[in-house]
Amino acid sequence: MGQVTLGLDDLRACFASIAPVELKGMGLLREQPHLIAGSSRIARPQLVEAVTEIVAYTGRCAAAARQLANLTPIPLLSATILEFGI
Amino acid sequence: MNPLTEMYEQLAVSLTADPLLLLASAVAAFDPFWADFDEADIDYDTDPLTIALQVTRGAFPDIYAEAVERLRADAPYGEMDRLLCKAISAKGIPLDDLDTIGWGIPMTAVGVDLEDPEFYAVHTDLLPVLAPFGIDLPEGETYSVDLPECVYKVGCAIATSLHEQTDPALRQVGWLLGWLFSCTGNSLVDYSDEALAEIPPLSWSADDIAFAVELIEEADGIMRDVQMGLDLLKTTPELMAAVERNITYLYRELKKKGKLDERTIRLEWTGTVGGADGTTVVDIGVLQLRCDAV
Repeated sequence: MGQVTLGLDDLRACFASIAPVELKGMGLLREQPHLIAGSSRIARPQLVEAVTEIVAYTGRCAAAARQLANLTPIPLLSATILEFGI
Repeated sequence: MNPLTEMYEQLAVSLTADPLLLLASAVAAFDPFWADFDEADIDYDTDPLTIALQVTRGAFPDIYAEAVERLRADAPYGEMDRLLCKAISAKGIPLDDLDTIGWGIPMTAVGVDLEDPEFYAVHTDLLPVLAPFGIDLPEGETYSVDLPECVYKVGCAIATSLHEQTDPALRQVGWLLGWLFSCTGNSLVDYSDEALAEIPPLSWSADDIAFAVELIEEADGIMRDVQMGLDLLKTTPELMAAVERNITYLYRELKKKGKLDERTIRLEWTGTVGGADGTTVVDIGVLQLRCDAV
């Protein structure tokens, strides 16, 4: 297998290529930006749906962050990241 | 619209234009406590409102959603207290005061302590039901009523036998006796307040909440049956006579053999509960205790 060389820009581009998440709450804010200031109200079922989804999403994010923080190091023998070269 | 509010509006619109800012705004608007609470453990060393927000965020997102909305509208503590207590109570866990939420899931025991003299003063309507067991109104001032163990054995044997019956009315009387002799299997019905206070309260974890809701719901159902069983017993002399007859039989067995052998005990309930036209609904020959069926 050939040597792969990555730069910080490549890594950034890699993360940036991930499609943005689309949550119900985001759709509601896009439709009614007033909601950001809390100056308008949403129908209860819509609100509950949006909050439930975001609570689950933030829970998944927190779990992912915990897992990433505890990853076992994996030696990348065929990849070189220039900025972190050893 | 003045320039200040106009600018505010423009900022809000701008926030929604960028996906990352929009996501951040959505989280801030709909789940502002996302980073404040431990997912696994509830922190009880804080104020009641924060505990309630942790509890509802984990177990009742619909209540959390409403609470967050009211908080963003600057609702005062009193309003939050009423809102959260009402909403959590509607989920099957009666909560009267948010200040008590930190002690764990509130539970009310409805069990009987037959050794407490006050019980007899409060529940005079139950004296006719207890009399056949040899339990009478305690005379004079006494700290505790001394009841022999055989009373509980016989009471529970009668309750078990009644639970074995197919007629719902007989089973209701079974719940009445199960409640009186603390052998229903439901802790809230079997324990007095004092006894329940000795047990560590349930936490607000999702599992404990589900268990508490089931426990409370079951206890409520049993207590409805207890009341109906009591009414039935008071208005059906044949049934009361059968209860008395079976109690006498069990005491005699106990005296003769020193224990109740459930394999040989036969309790008779035939013809004790009549239909509206006076005909007998229950027509079971010889009825047995639960252990006989095994």
